Amino acid sequence: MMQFLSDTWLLWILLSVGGLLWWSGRDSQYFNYVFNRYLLALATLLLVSGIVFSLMEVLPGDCAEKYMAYKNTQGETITQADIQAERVRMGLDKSLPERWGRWVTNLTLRGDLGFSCAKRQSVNLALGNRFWMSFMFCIAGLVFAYLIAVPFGILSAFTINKSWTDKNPQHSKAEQLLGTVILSLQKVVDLLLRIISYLGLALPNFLLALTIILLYVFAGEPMPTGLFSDQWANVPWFGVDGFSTGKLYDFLGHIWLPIFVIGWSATALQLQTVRALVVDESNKLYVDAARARGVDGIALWAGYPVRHSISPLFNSIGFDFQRVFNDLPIVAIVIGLTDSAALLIEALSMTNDQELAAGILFLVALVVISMNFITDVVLAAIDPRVRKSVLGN
Amino acid sequence: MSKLFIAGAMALMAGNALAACPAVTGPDAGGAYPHLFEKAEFESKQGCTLSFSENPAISQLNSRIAGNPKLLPLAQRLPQEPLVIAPYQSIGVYGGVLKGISKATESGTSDLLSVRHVNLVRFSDDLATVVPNVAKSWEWNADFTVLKVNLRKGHKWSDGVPFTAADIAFWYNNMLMDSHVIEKPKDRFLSAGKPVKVEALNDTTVQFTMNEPAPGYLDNFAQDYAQPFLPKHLLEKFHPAFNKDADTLAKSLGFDDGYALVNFYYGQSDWKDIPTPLLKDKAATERLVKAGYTAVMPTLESHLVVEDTLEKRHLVANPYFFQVDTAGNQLPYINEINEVYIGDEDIQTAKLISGEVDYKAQAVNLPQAPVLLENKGQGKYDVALRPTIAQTTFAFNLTDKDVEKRAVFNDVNFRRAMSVAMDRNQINEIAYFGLGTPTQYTGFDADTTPFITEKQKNSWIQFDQKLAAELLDKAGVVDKDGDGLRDLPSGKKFELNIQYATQGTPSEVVEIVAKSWSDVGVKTTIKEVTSDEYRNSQTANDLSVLSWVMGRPLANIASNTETLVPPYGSFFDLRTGMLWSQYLDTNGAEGVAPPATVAEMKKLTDRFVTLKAGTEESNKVGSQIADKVVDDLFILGTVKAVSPVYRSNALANFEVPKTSSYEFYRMYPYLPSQWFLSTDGVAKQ
Repeated sequence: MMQFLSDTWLLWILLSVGGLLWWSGRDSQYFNYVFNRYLLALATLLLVSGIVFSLMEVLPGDCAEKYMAYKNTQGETITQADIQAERVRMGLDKSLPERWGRWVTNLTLRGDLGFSCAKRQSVNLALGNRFWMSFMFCIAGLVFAYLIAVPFGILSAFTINKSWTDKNPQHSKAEQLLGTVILSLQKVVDLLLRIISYLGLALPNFLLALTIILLYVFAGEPMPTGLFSDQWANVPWFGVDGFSTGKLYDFLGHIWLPIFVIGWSATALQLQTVRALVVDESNKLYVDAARARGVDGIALWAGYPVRHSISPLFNSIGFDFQRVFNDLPIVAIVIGLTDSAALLIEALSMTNDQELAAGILFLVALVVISMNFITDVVLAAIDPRVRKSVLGN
Repeated sequence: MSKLFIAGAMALMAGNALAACPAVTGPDAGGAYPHLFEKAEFESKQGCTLSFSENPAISQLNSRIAGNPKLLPLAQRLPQEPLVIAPYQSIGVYGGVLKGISKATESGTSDLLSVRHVNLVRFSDDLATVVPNVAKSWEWNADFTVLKVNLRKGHKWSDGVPFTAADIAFWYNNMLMDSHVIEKPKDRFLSAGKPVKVEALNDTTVQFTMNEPAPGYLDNFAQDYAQPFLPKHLLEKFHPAFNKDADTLAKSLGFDDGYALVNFYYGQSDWKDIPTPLLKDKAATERLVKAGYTAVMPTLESHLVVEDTLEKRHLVANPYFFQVDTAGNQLPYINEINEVYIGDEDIQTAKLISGEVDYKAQAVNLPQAPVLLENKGQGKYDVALRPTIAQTTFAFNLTDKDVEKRAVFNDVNFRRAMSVAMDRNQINEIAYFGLGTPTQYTGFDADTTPFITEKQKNSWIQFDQKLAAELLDKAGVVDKDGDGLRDLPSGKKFELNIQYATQGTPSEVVEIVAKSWSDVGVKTTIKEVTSDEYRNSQTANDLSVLSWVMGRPLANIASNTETLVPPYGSFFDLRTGMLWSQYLDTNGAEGVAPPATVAEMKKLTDRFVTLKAGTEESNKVGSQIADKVVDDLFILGTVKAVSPVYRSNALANFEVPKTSSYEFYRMYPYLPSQWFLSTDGVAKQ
C-alpha cells in the first residue's frame, strides 16, 4: 500500500487539488473559473510535453548510439547489433507515442522525468537541486529588474512631457527656482536611466560578464567561483554562534554578479515597458476626469494611470521568467556553476540527451504556465476589469 | 644541497650508527635510483634509524573521508618498507590546499590526476629509467615472458586494510576479464591478443606470465593512467563471483544487482577522471556509509576524493600513503587539493593571471603564453615553455562513408599532395610564434627517439604547390567544370569540411591548413566543435578530415602499438579507418578490408613489442616502422610546438618538467607527493 502510494504520489496531489477546486467551484463563479484555468494549464502542459518530445525526435542519433559511443571508450568493439540491443533495452525501438505515453505516465504518477543517457543516471538526480538553483537565479534576476524598472519607469513617464524649468506663474521666484532644480534633476535621472537601459538592451551579456571578470583581475581580487568561497563552503548557516552573517556576505558577494548580469537587460526592457504603459494610460480621459475632480499629485498617479498599468505588467511575469532563463547560461560561465540552462545546452548540442533536455524544457514550461495560472487567478481576484471580463459580472 | 648528503656520510664515518637520519635533499640526491631510497638502503647508507612523524592535521583530514574508520597510529599506517623520497629542494612543511582547474569531469583536461597518481612503477625525471613506486622491485625471466613484481610489506589501502598481491590479481582476473564489468579488455593489457596469467604467489609477490616476450609490459605501467590494483576487500562483497549473496546485499543497499554496485564504485573504467560515486548519486553513498562501507573506493594514491560535484572535485591527503621524506615525515605534505571546473578558456586565463591556481599545464595553450608571461609578477607565478611530444596532425578518413571520397583518400598521391600543400613555416610563425619545428608525423616522438632520421622527419613537408598540383592530377582530382576548384574523379563537387576541437588543434593551424588546401584547388571549410562532439563523430565514422594531437615516445610504443594499426588511436586520439578496424575485430564479418600495407605494419608492430626497447634489433624494426608511417602517410604532421607550464611561486619542490606532455603521465615523473606550499616558495625550517 505504502509502495503504491509512493509510486503514485503526484497523481493524488493533482487529483485532490482538482477535486478541491471543483468542490469549491460548485457555487462560486470565481472558483469555477479557477478550476477551468487549472484544467487548461494541465492540458497545456500535456501538449508542451508532446511537442518537446517530438522535437527531440528530430535530432539525429539517439540515446543508444551515444551510450554505446561512451562504452566504446571503455575499449569495446561496437557492432550495429549491439546498438540495436541497447535500443531495445532502453525501449527506443517502441513507437514515439508509446514512449511519450510512458514518459507522461511516469511523470504524472510520481514526478519521474526519465533517465539521462549521457549522465547515466535518472534525470531527477542529474537535475537535482540545479533546477531550483536556476529557478532562484531567475527569480532573483526578475526581482532585481522589477525593483528598479517599476519605480523608475513611472518616474520616467512622469517627466515625459514636463519642461526643464518651472514656469508656473503662481509660484514665487524662490519656489520657481526650487521647482526648476527638482524638475531638472528628474529629467537628468530619466535621461541617465534611459541611456543605461538602452545599453542594457544593446550590450551582449557575455561581454558584460567578461568585462566585470577582467575588473576583478586588474584589481587583484579573487574571482567569485561557485556559490561560496572555500572558506565558507563548509560552514553551517546556523552555527554555535547563531546565524553566520559572514557566510551570508560571502554568498551575496558571489551571487550579485550573475544576478546583475542577467537582471540588467531584463531591467532595460521592463523599464521601457512600464514607461510606455504609464504614458499611454496617463493621456486617457479618465485621468483628466480625475484631475478635474481635484485629484492631484501622487494620489492621481498612483490611483489612476499607474494602477491600470500594473496589471499587464504583472501578467507578463511568466514570459519574463522564460526570457531570463535564456540568459542563464552566462551564470555557468561567470561563476563556474553548472545550472540547468547549461545542462540544457549540453543535452541539446553535445550529447543528444533526449530525456534530460525534455525534462528541463518541460520544467521551464511548467514554471511559465504555473506563473500564468497564478497571475490569472490573482488578477481575477483583485482587478475588477479582469474579474468583469472573465466572470461576466 | 648535496652538502647535507656529505654531512650524512661523515656522520656515518664517525660511527654513530643509531643517530637520527640527516635530511637528504637536493636535485642529485638519491640511492640506487634518483630521489629514491628503500628504507633499509637509506638507513644502512646513513648509519641511522629513520623515525617517522605525521601530518598534525591527518586525523581531521581522515574524518572528512566518508566511511573511513578511525585512524591507526602512524607506525601501523606506513608499510614496514616505505619508499623514502629525497625532496628536490628541501624538507617540506605540512598543510595548505593545492588549487587547480580543469574543464569538467571526464573532459580529459585534469592534469591534477597525475599529481595524486601512483602505479607499480614510474619513469624517473630523465624520462628513460623505470623506477620503483608501489612495487618495491621486479624480476623478468631471460626471455621476458615471466614478470615477478614484489610489493611492500605492510602497505595499506586508504581505509587501513592491507594491500596485497591478491588486489592486483583481482583487478586483472575479476574486473578486466569479467565481461559484466568490462566487455573487452584493452589490448595493452593482453599478450599476443590473449589474457596474461596473473597470480598472487604470496601477499607481496605477483606473477605475470605472458604468451609471448613482452619486455615493455612493466614499462607501460610507468606511464599508464590505469592502476593495476583494486580494493578486493570492498568489491568482492558485491562481486557475484566471490559472494553468492552479492545480489541480495546490493539490493538491500538500493542497487539492481551486485555488478551494478561494483560498477557504481568502479565506474567501468580505470581512468580516474570519471565521476566518483559522490557525484553519481550522493544519497546512495550515504546509504553505503551507513551500512559500514566507504563512499568511494579506497586508494593507494596520495590524495582521495571527498567531494565531487559538477562544479569541483575536492581531495584530502591519504593517511595511509606509503612514502616518507628523508626526515621521516609521511608524505604528501599538501593537505588538500581543490579542483574547480572552468569551461571557458578566457575565464581560465583570467584565473591563471590572477594567481588563483597553483599548477596547470594541460589545456593551457601557447596563444595564451604572452599574456601569461606579461602578468607573472603581479599574479606571483611562473611560466615555462616546454616542448610537447605530440603534435597537431591531420588525416583523411580512409574508410569514409562516401565511397568516392574514400577511394580518393586511399590514393597515396592525394595524401602526399595535401602534405606538401601545407605551409608549415606559416603555421609555425602564426600559431607557434616561430618557436616550433616543422616535422612530419613518424609515429614516434621525433626528438627523443634515437632511430628517427632527418629524412623521415622531413619527408613530404616541403611547401610546394606545384608538386601538390601534379600529385592531385595524378590522383584524378582535377577541375572538371572549370570553376577553379578541383572535383572528384566522377565530376561531383569535392569539398572538405574540417571539424576540429581546440583541445586537439589550434584554430590558427586549421585556418592556415584550410587556406593552403583551398589554394591548390581543394575547397576546404572549417567548423569548431567541442572535444566531446569531435570524439563521438570521429568514432562514429562521421568525419572526412580528422585532426588531433598525435605522436608518442618510444617508451610508450615499445609496449603499446595502438597508434600504428587501425584505427590508429584510442577514442581520445586521432582515429581513421574505423571500418578497417571493425573488419579486423570481427574477423571480416563486418567493415571494410584494409590494404596489404596495414597487414605488413601489423607484422612489424607485433615483432616490435617482443623486443627490449633500445636494443639494436628493436631500433632496426622501429626504423622500418617509421619508414612505413611516412611512406603510407595516413597521418600528416604539421609543426612540433612548445607549450606553457604554469606554476605558482608558492609551490615548492617543484621540478619543471622536461616536456609538457600527457605522455609519461604529466607530473608523475617529478614526484608531486613532495610538493609543498609556502608563501615564498621555500621552506620555513
